[in-house]
Amino acid sequence: MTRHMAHGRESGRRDWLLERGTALLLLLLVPWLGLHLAFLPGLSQAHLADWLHAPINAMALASLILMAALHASLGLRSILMDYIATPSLRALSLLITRSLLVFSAVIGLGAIWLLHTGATP
Amino acid sequence: MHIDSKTHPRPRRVLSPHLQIYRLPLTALLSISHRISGALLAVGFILGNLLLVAAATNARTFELITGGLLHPMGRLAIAGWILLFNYHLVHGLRHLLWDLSLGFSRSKQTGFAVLELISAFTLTALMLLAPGLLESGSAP
Repeated sequence: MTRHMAHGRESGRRDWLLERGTALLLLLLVPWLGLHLAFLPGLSQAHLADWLHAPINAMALASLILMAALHASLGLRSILMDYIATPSLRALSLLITRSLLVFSAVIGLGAIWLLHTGATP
Repeated sequence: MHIDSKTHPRPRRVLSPHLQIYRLPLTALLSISHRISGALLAVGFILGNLLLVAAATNARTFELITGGLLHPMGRLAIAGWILLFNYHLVHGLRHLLWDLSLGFSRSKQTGFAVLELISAFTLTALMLLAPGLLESGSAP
């Protein structure tokens, strides 16, 4: 029991730090992305691929996706934990939410790789 | 521990006002709005990744989607998303201040809440009214 509580306290502390850490990184990355997208010459596939060809842009966008996925996962987890009382339904909704975010991040990162390397059809 | 409901009847407690008719204070409304905006931003995150996939796999689909985003309704959706983002950001900053044990003064709670709303709307207006943007052609 004591070990279980200590584990809960430790994971809670870790989640709290991760939520704040990712929030601070997103505070830098999202305005950076917004500025760059706003000043792209146009919103065509060629313009986006050209922009993502620069390693710094590809790396920053990939970091943004990872940070946003982690931040969203932690945030949605606390919402679901607070509002869904039935354990099985709560576990299922957590699984669906996390799977959606992971899948979304993976396909986003894959798309960045394709655009960065110029392997688009 | 099992309590027999026949020998120990449940005490008749006063019911709290139901959430739907209870008038939440502004600070409580902003707190729940932070969660709602976060959930909607997560939906935007998923859609953003799908847009990237469209860009990487099918130029025609990507152009159709971006065409839709430049339509007035699309622009309205983007403006709404930016407002949600700015609100989530401003309230998130307040959470960071709370983490530093700042801004807990009871008398200033409503003032902070109003400041949050003004900041979120001002940031959104500045972003939307910024000149040029997609048409400017100059990279930062």
